[in-house]
Amino acid sequence: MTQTLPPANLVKANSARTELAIRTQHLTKRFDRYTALRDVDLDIESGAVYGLIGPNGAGKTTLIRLLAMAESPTVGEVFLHGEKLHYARPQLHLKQQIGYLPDDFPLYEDLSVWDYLDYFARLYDLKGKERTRSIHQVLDLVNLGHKRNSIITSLSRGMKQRLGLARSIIHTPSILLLDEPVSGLDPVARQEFRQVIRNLHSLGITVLISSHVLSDLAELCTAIGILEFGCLVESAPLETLYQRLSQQHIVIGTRGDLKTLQTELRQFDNLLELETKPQAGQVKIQFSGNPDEAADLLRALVEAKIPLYEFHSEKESLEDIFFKIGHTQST
Amino acid sequence: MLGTHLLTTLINLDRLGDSNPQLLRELKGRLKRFSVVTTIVLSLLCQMVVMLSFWAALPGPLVLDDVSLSTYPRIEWFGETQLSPEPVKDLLPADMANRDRAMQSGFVVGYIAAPTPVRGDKGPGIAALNAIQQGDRLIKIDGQLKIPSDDQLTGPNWQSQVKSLAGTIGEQTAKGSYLSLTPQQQKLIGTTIDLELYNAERGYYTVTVPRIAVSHKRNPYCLKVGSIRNKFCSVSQDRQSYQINWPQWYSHIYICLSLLIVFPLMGVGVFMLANNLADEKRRGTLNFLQLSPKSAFTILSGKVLGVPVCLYLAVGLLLPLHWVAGLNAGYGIGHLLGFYLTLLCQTLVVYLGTLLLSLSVANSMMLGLQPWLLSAGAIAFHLILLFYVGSSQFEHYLDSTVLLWFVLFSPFSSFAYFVQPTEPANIALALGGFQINFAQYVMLALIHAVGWYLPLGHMLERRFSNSTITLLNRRFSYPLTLIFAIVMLGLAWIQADNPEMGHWHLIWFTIMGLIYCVALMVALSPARQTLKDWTRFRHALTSHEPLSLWKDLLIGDASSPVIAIAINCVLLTSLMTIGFYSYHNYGYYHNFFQNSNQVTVFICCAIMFIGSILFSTVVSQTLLMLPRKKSWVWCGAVGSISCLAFPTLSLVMGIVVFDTASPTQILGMSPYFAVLGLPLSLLGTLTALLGAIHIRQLMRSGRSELQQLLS
Repeated sequence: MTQTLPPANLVKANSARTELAIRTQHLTKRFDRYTALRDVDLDIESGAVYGLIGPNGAGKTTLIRLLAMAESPTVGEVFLHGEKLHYARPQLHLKQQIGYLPDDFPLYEDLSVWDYLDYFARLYDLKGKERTRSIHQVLDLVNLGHKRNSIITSLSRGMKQRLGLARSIIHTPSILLLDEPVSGLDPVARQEFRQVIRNLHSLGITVLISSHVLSDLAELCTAIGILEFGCLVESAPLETLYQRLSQQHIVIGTRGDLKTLQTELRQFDNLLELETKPQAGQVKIQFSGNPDEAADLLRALVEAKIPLYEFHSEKESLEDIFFKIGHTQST
Repeated sequence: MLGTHLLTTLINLDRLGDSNPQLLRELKGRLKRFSVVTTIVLSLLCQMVVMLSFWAALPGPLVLDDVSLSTYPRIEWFGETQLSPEPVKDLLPADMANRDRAMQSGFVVGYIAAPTPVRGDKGPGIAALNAIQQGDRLIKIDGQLKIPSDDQLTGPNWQSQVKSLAGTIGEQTAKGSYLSLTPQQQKLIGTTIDLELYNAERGYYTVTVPRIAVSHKRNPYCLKVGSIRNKFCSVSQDRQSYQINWPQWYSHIYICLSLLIVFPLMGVGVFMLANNLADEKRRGTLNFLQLSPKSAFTILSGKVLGVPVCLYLAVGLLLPLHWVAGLNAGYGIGHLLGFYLTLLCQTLVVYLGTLLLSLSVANSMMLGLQPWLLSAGAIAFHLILLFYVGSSQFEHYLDSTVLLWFVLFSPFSSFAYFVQPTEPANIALALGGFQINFAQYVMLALIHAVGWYLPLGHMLERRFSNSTITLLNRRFSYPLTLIFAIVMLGLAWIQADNPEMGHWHLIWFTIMGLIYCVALMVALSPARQTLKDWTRFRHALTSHEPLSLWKDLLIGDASSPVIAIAINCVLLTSLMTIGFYSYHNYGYYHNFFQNSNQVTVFICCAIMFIGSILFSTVVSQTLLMLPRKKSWVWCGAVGSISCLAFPTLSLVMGIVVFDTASPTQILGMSPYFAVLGLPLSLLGTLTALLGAIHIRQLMRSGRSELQQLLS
């Protein structure tokens, strides 16, 4: 994957922003008798990579479509960079600020890669050299420069996905909305896609990304929102979420007596729960201390001459948090 | 040189793409080498087939065996028939004034050919054709006396005398195939013959008749000469070829090419546009276009100009031949340009309508069908128009002039002004209703088209930017209704001096008004969810200001459309009723309203029309709000049936009462109660009942929606 320098126009476009890139208030969307989104208050800071997670039918796509102006809300308001969005007559300059890649990334298969991007660049009023430069930049950014003259139908799924992404950023939007962009991609393509998102993040673009691949989101996102049954049940920076909701476990393996180990461990205050696995000779403890205190624990066990063969720390993943929070809160 | 030209073209394309990216995209996607070559080949092939077909229809090379001597006009003499056993009296018309004289006096004019208009050097012939009458007696040929004397006719060898005279006449005027003509006869071709004739009314007179060579060949494109039954081709003076009626030949080519231009534009063009939008919808790419900052006008104009570009190319290649054919047919440049201009405007109206219908269809099954349906609909519409405006209905003004409106949709209407009147004579009659010349017709067609662009553009703009919004803004609907009523009344004004057309006007007012009101129902009805949102919004309002409610109902787009449709319907019906009655009041249709009872019936019918539309609207809106799947299908079906049933009923009943001499006989009751009062009160009760249900339904919906949101 080629790491490119941030395009000058992109950096310029994102240099002066209000703090919140996206803000929704009481955002609700009903489809006949079905409420797809219910009273969602969402704040996304400028330059954040915001991951939206939730099961199928949770309202992720609806939320993204509402932000992209592809749907209008039943109730509620949306502010982009502090400016209220008028759905009846969307402001053209706000349309220019949005880049949107739906989950099915429809393409014009009969066009070449260059013509496709050229067409969308023109739709967003890019002219002359600015347009050419922008196409070159996004092609480099998504690593499709070598395919510029290829007909789209000949591209692989991963390439098409990246081309879709290139299309959505051709006009240098300040907000990028990606609806399950890595679904159906192989691991290599996913890794490439992650790299592209990192590049965009480095350019200061605010990215809202929904995905079922939580490990990808954990790696990419600065903040996470969890949707369940149309409700936003959690929205916080990733670090805060981990600190607040992720539990740390330490697995200790010994060749000696497990009871001795348990007795020794009970002297420490930071242990919340203790689970023994006699067959493996292991003890798994829920640990609330910081890394220094974990080191103290290890030192104390060694000094107590307990024959250790394993001592490692585990943190609950985003997936664990999702299962823990998502279902309990919404139900 | 070529490189510079290529560069210039590319730069121009680039500029074009900057102003309309959609157009550039469509051009790039369609103007591929294969499709362009195929289009050019098909278009040229088509022209070749047309030309070859018409070429084959010409009489072909001259066959000398078929050529004989004749005159123009060709005259068949009676008298020589006395030689046949068949008596002359059986061959002559019974009412011929000088029949007895003809029987007695030898050679009289029997049949005179009635040839098609002949151009060129047939001046003397035309004069003779106009002068000679059946039964005129032949006195002299080239100054020599040809009257058989009484002795000749009554003598013992009268037959041989008459035969001799007949031979003399035949020698100098007609007879024989070319090869059997004597050298003297052959020399006579191209000369003239002076005939002195006698007519009881005009006395003696002389006409000059040219001798010409004629063929026994018959062909539609020949300059024709011959008897009534046998229209033979005339032969050129040099006897080398047939004389062809080239203007007529070119005229037919022009008409054929016009059909080849109009119907593909309407059929194939509509299909291409509808199919393209259906594809965009299926693929999901239409969403991107709607989300882009470009206006609906830019995107949709790019579609209209770009999607059928191959069709435009094919039609464009037909134009030079079409133009040449028109000029050679003798049509003026102004007429030819006028046809193109009206065609352009009318095609654009059809294309905008296609885009609107395509954008409005969301059903996935319909997406596949709609290009076929719309294309077939466009072709059928123009075919019906072509045949209808050319039918005998217009010839004798059997229909209301309200229908003249449709003439403005037909590109062939302009033909009435310049194509040979034998072809679309009835269209000419139809347009005669407007009492306008060609330039005024073109202006009228342009204004009519612009009149369509405004509402279509308004609806396209709305539908493109938001697929859930109503097609028509309610503020816009009231002036639109006003214009519609004025157009209807204006068209009826053309026949305002004909009281017999009163009924027809009323029938067409009802039908057109019905179509308009149904279209209005569709265009003003918000989506079910939008209506529900509005009910919830109204329910959640803390202060219930009646003014804001009426504002919502009258000019808001999300509220129930019943009131707005009712106002439009009342506006339309009142204007048309007052207008129609004013014609009567000011002396037009002075025989239409015979007594005050008929005026009452007329007003009752108008009220019933309003009631029916209101009832249908309430029915459809109530069904739309029912919590069942596909409620819009029920809403459409029941709404349409009630729409059709009630106004028709009101019309029929109105006519029955209007025309019945003794209306009290109907059901043995008071006529107004039996025929109008009863249905009116029934309709009123039903509408009020359903209206109450609808209001209750809306209030309940608002409450339940709010509860669901708050829960």
